[in-house]
Amino acid sequence: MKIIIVGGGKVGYTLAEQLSTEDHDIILIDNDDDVLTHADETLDIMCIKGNGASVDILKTAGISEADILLAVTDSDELNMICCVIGKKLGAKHTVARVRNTDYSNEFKMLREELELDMVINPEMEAAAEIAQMIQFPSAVDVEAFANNLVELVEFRVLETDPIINTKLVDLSKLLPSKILFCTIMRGDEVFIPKGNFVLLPDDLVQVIGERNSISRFFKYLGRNTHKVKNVTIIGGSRTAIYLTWLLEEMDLNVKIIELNKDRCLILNDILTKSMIICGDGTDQEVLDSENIESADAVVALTDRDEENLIISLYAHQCGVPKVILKINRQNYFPIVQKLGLDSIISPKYITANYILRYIRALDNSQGIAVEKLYRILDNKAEIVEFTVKDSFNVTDIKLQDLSLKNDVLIASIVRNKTIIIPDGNDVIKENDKVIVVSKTGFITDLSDILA
Amino acid sequence: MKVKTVLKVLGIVLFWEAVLMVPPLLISIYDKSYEIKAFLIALATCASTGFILSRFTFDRTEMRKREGYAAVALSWLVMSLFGALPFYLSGSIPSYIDALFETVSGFTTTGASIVPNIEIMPRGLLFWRSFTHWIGGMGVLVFTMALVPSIGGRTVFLMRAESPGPTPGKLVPKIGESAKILYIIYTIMTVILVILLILAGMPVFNSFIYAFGTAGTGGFSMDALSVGAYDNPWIEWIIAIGMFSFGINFTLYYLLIRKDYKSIFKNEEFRFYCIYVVLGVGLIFVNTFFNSNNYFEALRHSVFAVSSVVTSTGYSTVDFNLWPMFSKSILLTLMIFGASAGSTGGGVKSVRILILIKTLFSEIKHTIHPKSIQRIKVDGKALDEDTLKSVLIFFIAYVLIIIMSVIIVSLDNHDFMTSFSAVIATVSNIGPGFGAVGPMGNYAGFSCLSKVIFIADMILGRLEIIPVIVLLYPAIWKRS
Repeated sequence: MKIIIVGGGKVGYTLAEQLSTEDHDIILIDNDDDVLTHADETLDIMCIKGNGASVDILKTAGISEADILLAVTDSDELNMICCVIGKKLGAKHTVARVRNTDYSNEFKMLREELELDMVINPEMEAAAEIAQMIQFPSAVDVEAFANNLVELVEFRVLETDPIINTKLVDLSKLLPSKILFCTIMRGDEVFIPKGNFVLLPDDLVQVIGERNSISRFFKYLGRNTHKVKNVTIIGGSRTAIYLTWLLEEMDLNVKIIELNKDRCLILNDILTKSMIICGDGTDQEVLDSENIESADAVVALTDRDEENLIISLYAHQCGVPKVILKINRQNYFPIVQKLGLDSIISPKYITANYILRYIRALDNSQGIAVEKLYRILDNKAEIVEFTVKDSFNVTDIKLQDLSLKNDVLIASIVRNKTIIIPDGNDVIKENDKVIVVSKTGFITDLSDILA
Repeated sequence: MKVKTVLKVLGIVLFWEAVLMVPPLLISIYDKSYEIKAFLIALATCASTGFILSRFTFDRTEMRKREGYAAVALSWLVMSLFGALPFYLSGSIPSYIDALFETVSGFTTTGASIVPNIEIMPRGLLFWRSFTHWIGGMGVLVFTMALVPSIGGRTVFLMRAESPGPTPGKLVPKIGESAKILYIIYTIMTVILVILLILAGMPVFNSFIYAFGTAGTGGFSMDALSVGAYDNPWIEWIIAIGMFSFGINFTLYYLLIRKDYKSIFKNEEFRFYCIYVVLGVGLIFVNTFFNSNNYFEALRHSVFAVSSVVTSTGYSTVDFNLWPMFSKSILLTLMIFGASAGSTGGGVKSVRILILIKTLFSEIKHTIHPKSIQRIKVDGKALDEDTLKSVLIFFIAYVLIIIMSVIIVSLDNHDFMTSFSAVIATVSNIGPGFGAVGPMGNYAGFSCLSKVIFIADMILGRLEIIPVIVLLYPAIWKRS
C-alpha cells in the first residue's frame, strides 16, 4: 500500500520504520531537515520537506494514489486539517492523532463530519492500557477482543504455580473456570499448544477467556488474592485524568499527587470523586505522609522519565504490589526492566502500535474476510477475528470431528453476544464471530484453518 | 568500518559481474574464437570469489555512510581487476596494466583506449569491452539493487556514492523500485537506439557496440575512425542526438512518463544544460564553417563533437584535433562542464556549475550590499548549507586532482596540450583529448606510472571523488 505520513517525530518515525519493513511504499513529510536526513539515511522511504497540510506538498507526495494518510504531528489542528485536505484530494483512508482533552468527547463528530477514518488519542489509549494492567495486576499485558467481551491476558509462569508439569488436557479438568491456553513463548520459540503440551516455569503464556473466568483462574494460581482498591497516581497529566475517569468507573479509590497548584484546582473541578494532593511527588516525605506503602498500585505519570523512574523504584522498595510507570524514551525500556519494573507504558509507542494494527487489518482485509488482526509475541503469532459466512461449509459439525491444521487454534466463538470457549463438542454456526490464534502468515480466510 | 558488510557487497557485485560475462562468452562460442577459455576462467574466478564473499551476513544497521562509500569504491576497483581478466588471459592485451586500463576505461565510461589496432580484436572481447560501458553508465550497484533489493537495508548510501550529482534522489519510496525504474528507462532507450542504428544501415553487431557506447556515454568504438568510418549522416545524427539524450537527468524521463511536463520545463539544470550545448554548437559552427564549403556538414560535425564531448562520450566524426584553437578551447571547457547530474555522463555536472556560478554572483552582490541575505536557489528551492558546501568541496578536489595528475603525467615529457587534455579527458570520463590523445590517437604512448594515474583519475571522476578518497583516510580501516 502507499502510505503518506505527516510528521516525523517519534510516532511518525516508528510507523515509517515498521511499515517500510512490511513492504509498503512510505512517504514522510516533515518541516525539519534533521528529521528528514535521519529518516532518509536509515529507512527505505521517500522524504519530502514541507508543510503537510499544504495542497502543493500533498500533491507532490502523490496523495491521489495514497491508500492511507497518517497525520501525527504535534499539532491537533494541523493533523485534522491535513486529513480533511487529504481526503478531498483522494486519499482513501485518513488517520489523525488528536490529543487535546477538549476534543476528546467529539471524536464521533470528527469522524463523521471531517470524514476521518480513525482518530487516535495517545493519552486515552495509554490510560485504557494502564486501567487493564491495574485490573490484572499479575499480568504483563492485557488485550480485549470482540467488543471487549473476551480478554487475552499474558503472564509468566512461576515455579510455584500449580499448573506446571501437567498435560493441558488434564489441567483443564483441574481449573476452576473455562479458559484456553492460546500461545506459549519459550525462549524465542512460539508454540500453539495441543492437549499433550506441558507448561514449564518461565514460559510466557497467553490465556483467553471472559473477564470473570480469568480472574478466577488467577485466584486459583494464588496470585491475584490481593485485589486493587487504592491507586496513587503521581503527576496530574492528561493521561492521569483519563485514567482516573476509568478507575472511578471501576469503583477504586484514586489519589493524585500533583505539584502545580493551578493544575490541582483544575483536576479537582474535573475529578470530583478522587482526592487531589498538592505536593511534590518526587519528595519521599510527601509520599510517606500519603501512606504510599499502603497503596495497592502506584502509577508514575510525570512528564520526566527520570522522575517516574525514581518514584517507581521508591514505591517498589516500599512493597507496593503493582508499580506502573510512563517512559517516553524507548531505549530506557531494557534498563528499567532490569531494575525489576515490568509494567511500562509509553503513549507514543502505544499510538504507533495502535495505528499499525489498523493498517495491518486494512491491508489484510482487502478482498478477504478478516475483521480484525492482532500480532502478538514480537509478531510471531497472530489473532484473527472472522465472521462466519455461508461460504464456510463445515458449520454445525463438532470441532473434534474437524481436522484442523497444526499451529491453529479456535480460541473463542461469539454467538449473540455470548462467549463460548470451545471444546471438542462445540460447533461453528453461521454468523458466529470466530477468534483464531495461529502462527503468523498462516491464514487469510476462515477456510484456511482446515487441513 | 565493518569489513564484513563491505565484503558482502563486493561478493554480490562480483557474482553479478560473472553473470554479465555470459553474453560476450556466448558470442565467442558462436564465433569459435580463441578467447573462449579466457572468458571461462574469468567467469569462474569471478563467480567463485563472489559466492564465497556473499556468504557473509550482516545486520542492516551496520551499513553506515562509511561502509556504503567504501563498498562502492572497492567494488569498482575489484570489478575492474576481475573484468580485465578476459583481455589479459586471451593475450589480446598482453600487459595486465594495459588490460586494467582498458577495463577501468570501460566501466567508468571513459572510452580511452590503449589498443593500437582495434579492428583485429575478436567480437566477444569487443562486446565485453562495450558492455562494460553500458553497465558502468548507470552503475553496477544500482544494477544489483534493481535485481536484489534485499542487499541489506540501508542501501541509500550505495546509491548516493554511485549516482552522479550533488543530491541523487529516489524516484519512488523504495530504493529497489527506483533502481528498477532507472534501468527500465535506460534499457528501453538503448533498444530504441539499436533499432534506429540498424534502420540507418549499420550492421547489427556494430549497432549494439555503438549503442552501448552511446547509452553509457562511454565512447569505445570498433573502428579506428570511430563513427566517422561509416560516412553516413543518418548514423551521425542518431548518435549525436542519442548522446545528448543520455546526458539528461533520468529523473526527467520519469517525469515524462508521469506526464509532469511542467516540472521538466521548470528544471533549471536541464535549461542550463541545453543553453551551453546550443551555445557551444553555435560558436564552433561559426568558427569552423569558414574552412568548410558545406554549411550543413559543418553544422553536423559541430553538433556531433559538442554532444560527444559534453556528455563525456568521446565518439568523433572528424579529427577535431585539427580544428582552430578557439573551437578546441570551447570543447575543453565543455569537457569540464560535463552532462547533467543523474545521467550517465561525466564531468563536473551542469547543476554543480550552475550552483558555482550562482554562488559567485551572490558573493559579488554581497560585497556591494553587505547586509543582504541571499540563499542560493535551484528550481526555486533554497539549497541547504551541506549541499552547497559539498559542491564547493567537490570542485576544489576536482581541480586539485587535475593539477597533481598533470604534474605526474608531465614526467613522460609530452607536450602540454596532450598531458593536460589527457588528464581532463580521464577525470571527466571523456576518452579522447587533444594532441597525441586526440580522436585519432590513443593512450598507448604513456608510461606505466601515467597509466596508473589515469586509472585512478577515471575511477575518481566516475564516483565523484569523495567515496574514493575516504578509503585513503587511515581511520576508516580501524574496527569500530
